[in-house]
Formats: sequence, structure tokens, C-alpha cells
Amino acid sequence: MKKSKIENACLATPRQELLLKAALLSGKEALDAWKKWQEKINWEEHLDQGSFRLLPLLYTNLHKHGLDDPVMGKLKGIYRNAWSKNQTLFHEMAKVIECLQNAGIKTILLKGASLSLLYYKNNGARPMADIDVLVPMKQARAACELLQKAGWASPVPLSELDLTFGHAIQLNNRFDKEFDLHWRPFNACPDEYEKDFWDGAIPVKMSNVNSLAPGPTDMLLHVIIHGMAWNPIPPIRWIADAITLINSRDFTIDWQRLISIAQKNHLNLRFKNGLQYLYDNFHPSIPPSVMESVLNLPVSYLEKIEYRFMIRNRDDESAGPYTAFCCHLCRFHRLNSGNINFPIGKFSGSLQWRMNASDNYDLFRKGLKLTANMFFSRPFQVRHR
Amino acid sequence: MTVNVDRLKINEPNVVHENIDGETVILNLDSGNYYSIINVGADIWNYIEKGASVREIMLLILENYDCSSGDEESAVNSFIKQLQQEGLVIPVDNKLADSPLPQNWKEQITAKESNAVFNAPVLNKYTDMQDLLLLDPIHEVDDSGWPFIKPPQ
Repeated sequence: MKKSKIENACLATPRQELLLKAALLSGKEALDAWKKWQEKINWEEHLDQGSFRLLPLLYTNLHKHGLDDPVMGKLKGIYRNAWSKNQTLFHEMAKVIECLQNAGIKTILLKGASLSLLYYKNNGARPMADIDVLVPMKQARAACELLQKAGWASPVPLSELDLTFGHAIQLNNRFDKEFDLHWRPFNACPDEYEKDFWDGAIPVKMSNVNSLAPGPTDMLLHVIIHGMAWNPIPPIRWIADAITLINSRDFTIDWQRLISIAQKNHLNLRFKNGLQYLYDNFHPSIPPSVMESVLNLPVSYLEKIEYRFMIRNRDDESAGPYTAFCCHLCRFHRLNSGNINFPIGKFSGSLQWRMNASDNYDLFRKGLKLTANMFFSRPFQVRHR
Repeated sequence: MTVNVDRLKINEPNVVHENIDGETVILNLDSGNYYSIINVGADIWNYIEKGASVREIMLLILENYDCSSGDEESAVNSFIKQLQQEGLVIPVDNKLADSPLPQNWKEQITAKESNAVFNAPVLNKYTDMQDLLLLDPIHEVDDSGWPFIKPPQ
């Protein structure tokens, strides 16, 4: 087995790992981790946002272990709070899903909603701030227009380039609620896999409204590749999501299909590093033969560069123009199902969209700015998606 | 006080509920009210959820609790009436009842090991849900946790 040291500033810190173990493991391992975590941190005084989001799950696990501790009252309150917020969100968002479905638009609940309703089987253990919904790409524009009529607005209008190269748009209503409308399951997801994603979807019910959820295998891939990316809030929740999915008694992961999807979509490195991290630290029920196949997955140069780009803080432009260029090339390559014979004009269009450039001249100007940032103290703000 | 219906059911999907370590928390999503019930109240809620009739609920309470004051029936009826008034439970039309109770329904309801003292059930109600949700559930609550606000110092 080729084991490598995982370079990722986004993975859990030692303290966060203790919290994750207390929230996820069983018996002595969980209780020891809880004790050590409490010794290392005064969580009631200071806690990072990523860790805070794990407290409802921590409560459910400690309660299952019959822990008698004065802080259980406060943890129970955090659980009640998360449960109430989630229920309110499901109730409000079910109306939006119903509105889409009445217009003949199919929906898949991505991320938190499906994880909570189907895989955690608990409406309070996994807090969420918004709902992510996937609609078929052909109906994305109709869905967006329908939602706009229902009071959901986007800060920028949905363009043709967004539909061609993007994967989602964020909509907000006047109550500042957020709804992420996706037309691709993830960034640069090729059409071929999008079809498989829909075919593998399973039924889920949210507040009496029927929708679909990603099947367990697709859900796990989705969780890992989203987790292995930089986020302003430490994205450690993906670890709990992945372990819950893998250890679920009601669902089975099709490991061979999962490996094949990662390979076909050039996601080997993120998938491999994510799974290796889970295996080494949380001992989920992954067959050793699967781990061996995963660790032997070949990783292309472009994937390595994309990985470096993904795990860095996007606001700090230390990645430099070369890394950003390679990352965009990697995504474009994935979007085109690995076909290297793509028209240069289309790639230039994709770069323009990613760099928010109005035309080729603007793209060239922004490229120069990024290059200059490498040599000076990065005074030029160039934002890319 | 007597409840004038034979059987009640939870007003789903507008009412959601969960039992958290013996406490039943209920959310009326239409009104935005949050409720909490424990002990006898939580048992009554559980019996309603399982489909027991009002008469059966009364018998179960008398069977499982040490009832000696004689006020129990009135307290249970009054509590059920309150659940109805808050829109948390609604009458079941017996003619339309789609799932009659299974033969072993009593076994499905956990009986108390020893009879606990009957305390009149209380429906704790919090009407300012939107404000409560904005509370910091670590620093602005007492040791019992959200939604119990820390008293001003």
C-alpha cells in the first residue's frame, strides 16, 4: 500500500480530532477522547465554529454512553437549538421544493438535508444553515426564474456561462434565508456522471414533501470532495458525515463503483487523501482490499496542482497564477470528461468565467496582475472562482 | 373537564416533536411556538402518538402512576384539552382512521417499572421562537441549556 503524508491544512487539528472521536466513536475510546478534549479546551469560553457545529452530535453520542456530567444540560440545549433550527428550515424549504416539483422540476437534496434525514436519521445531530438542491441542468434556468418569482433573488443574474461552466447559484429571500440551487452535483462535474448521480438517487421525505437524495455511494464521494477543500469555517464536519455514512447499517457503499467514479472524474487525490485520513484516524468499516486499491490510485500532475489550490485559503493568493491556471485546466479537463481535444476558444471562455473577466483582453490583464502578485506584496485583488 | 373526542393524533406535518432524554420537545411550525413536556405529560404525548384513545390514555396513567388524590382524571383531561387548543393534536375521525391499533399496542408503550408519583402534567410554552433561535446556546443560557435563558446578573 502506498501511504503518503497528507498535506492538508483543512484537516482537523489534534483538538478537533479529540472532539470528533468523542462524537463518533464508541465505548472507552469516545469517553477518553471527551475527557482529554475537556482538559485541553475551555469550550464554554472559546470554540471555533467548525467544532461548535459538532456539539449536537457530541451530545447524542455522550447521551448514548450514559455520561453523567454537569455540562450535559448545556449540550442538550445546543442539541435542542439545532433540532429546532433544522425543523424550521425543513418546513420553510419544503414549500420551495414543492413549488419546483409542481412545475415538473425534479429535485435532489444535496449535503446536510439528505445527510440529516436519511443517513444520520436524526434531525438535530447535524446543524445546517441552508439547503442545497440539485435540479436537472436543462431545467436550471426555469428553476431559477420560478424561484425568483417566489421571492428568491441572486446578487448576480444567472448567465449562460454560469450554466456552461458553473455548478450552482446562491439565492436569498427577504428574510435572509439562503437556498443554493445546483445544476451540477459538484464543481466541473461532467454530464456523464451527472446522469449516474440522478439514476442512483433514492427517495427522501422532507416535511411531508417527497424529493430525492444522493445514493450512499455518491453521497460519500460528494462529502469527501467537498470536505477536502478550504472553507472559512473549518470544514471538519465532513469527517463526521463520512464516518456516519460508512458505518450506516441501513446503507451499503458500493466501493468498486466509488473508486471507478473517482477515477473517471479525476478526483483520485482528494478522494484518496480523504479516505486515508478517515481510515487512519477513525477506523471506519472500510475493507482493507478497498483501501489498498484506493491508495494505489494514480494521481495526475494536474490533480496535484488542483489539490494544492483547493486546500489553500482562496483569499490569500499565494497559490499564484500558475497554480490557479492549472487548477482551472484540471476542472475544464474534468468537465469535458477527460477529453484533451477541446477547442482553445472554449477553454479561454472557461478561464474568463472563472476569473470574472469580461473578455480576452481583461483575462490577459488579470493574468498579469496575478503574476505581479508573485513578485510584489500582492496588492492587486484578483478574485477567481 | 372532559375531552369530547375519542381519539386524537399529532397535527403533523405542522407539528414536529422529538423525545430527548425523557423530555418531549414540540414545535408548532405554523405558529412558531416551542413547547416542552416531561414525565406524565411526555407519557400522554407518547400514548397519543401511538394511537391510544383518550379513555385508554387515562387507564394507562392510572396504571403507571401512583394516583391517590382523585384529581388525576381532571388533570389529564385538562392537559389534553390544552394540547388541542394549541393546535398540537387534532381529533381522529374514527370512520377514517387508517390504522387501528395493533393487538400488542400496550406492550409497545413502555410501562414504568415502579409507580411514580403522579404530578399534574404541564405544557411549557415559549412563544418567541425567532428570538430564542438567535440566542447564543452556550453563553446566554443557564445550566439546563437552551431555551432556558440565563437570569440577568
